[in-house]
Amino acid sequence: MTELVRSLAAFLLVLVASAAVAQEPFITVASTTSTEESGLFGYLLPAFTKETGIQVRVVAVGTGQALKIGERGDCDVVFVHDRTA
Amino acid sequence: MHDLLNSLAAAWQLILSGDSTLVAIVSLSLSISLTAVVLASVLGLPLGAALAVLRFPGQNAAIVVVNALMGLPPVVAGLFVYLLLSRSGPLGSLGLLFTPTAMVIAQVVLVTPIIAAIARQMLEDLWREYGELYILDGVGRVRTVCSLLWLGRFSLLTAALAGLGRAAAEVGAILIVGGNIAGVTRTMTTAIALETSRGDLGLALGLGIILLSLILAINATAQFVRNTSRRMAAI
Repeated sequence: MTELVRSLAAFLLVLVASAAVAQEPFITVASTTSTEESGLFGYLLPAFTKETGIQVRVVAVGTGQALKIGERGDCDVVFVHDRTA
Repeated sequence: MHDLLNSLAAAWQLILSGDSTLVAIVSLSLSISLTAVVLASVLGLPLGAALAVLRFPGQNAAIVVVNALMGLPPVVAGLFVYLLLSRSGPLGSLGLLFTPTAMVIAQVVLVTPIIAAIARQMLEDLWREYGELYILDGVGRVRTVCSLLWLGRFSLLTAALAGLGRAAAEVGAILIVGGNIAGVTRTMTTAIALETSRGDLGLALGLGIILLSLILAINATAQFVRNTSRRMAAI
């Protein structure tokens, strides 16, 4: 758990400009399974949704795939922590 | 043995609890796979009929390709559909990636070759047997095909069930194009893959038992319909 907390500091937050205008109020986040398993999203997302009224859909994959999804413009936010990827 | 008993208990508890998340996952799984099988039939039956009854250059090659596509690995189909639907892909502007629609598309890609190949084989056999009668009677090609499809409807039901089995059981394609998003694109199989990776083997196998029971129930229903309509036809 402490390692996860430490790796939180290394999180890259990449905002990907999505050309299409979302029809429903939701954003897609590509992240890793371990980030989701850490419970971070379970803590952050309800607060975010409450504040903004925007639902968050989390796609939990490997860091490489998450970065690729972001690169191709298929998500709005990328949350990763593996430096080598 | 202990693990298996635990899984059975987990499955039973899940069913008894009537958990709303479970109900949502099960109904999403079934609606995606059933929609995919219906669409694949709409595409696959005419394709199979064309391959069986028409004569055109490259026909053998087309038959080989359709037969080979029955063995298309789901993860490859998933990647293909992902690249099509991705924002950077040709259909990216539709914004379908990570939606149930994308999952239906991926499963249609997987199921259509199965239905087309079985329909082609069945129609070819029937055509060899009855084709001359239709020609002698001066029945047109389209009406002949419709009539042959009706004659072979029980074999086609088996084709559809084979397709449904493939659709309901696969995880590789829908995981890639659906993203396994909780409450949006999480199905039975993607939930099973997730619970396995989490190490909750009991829950994973419990979900698997529920999935198997559902497929068993669908097949039993199909068998019942088949037997009943055969009996009706005999009277």
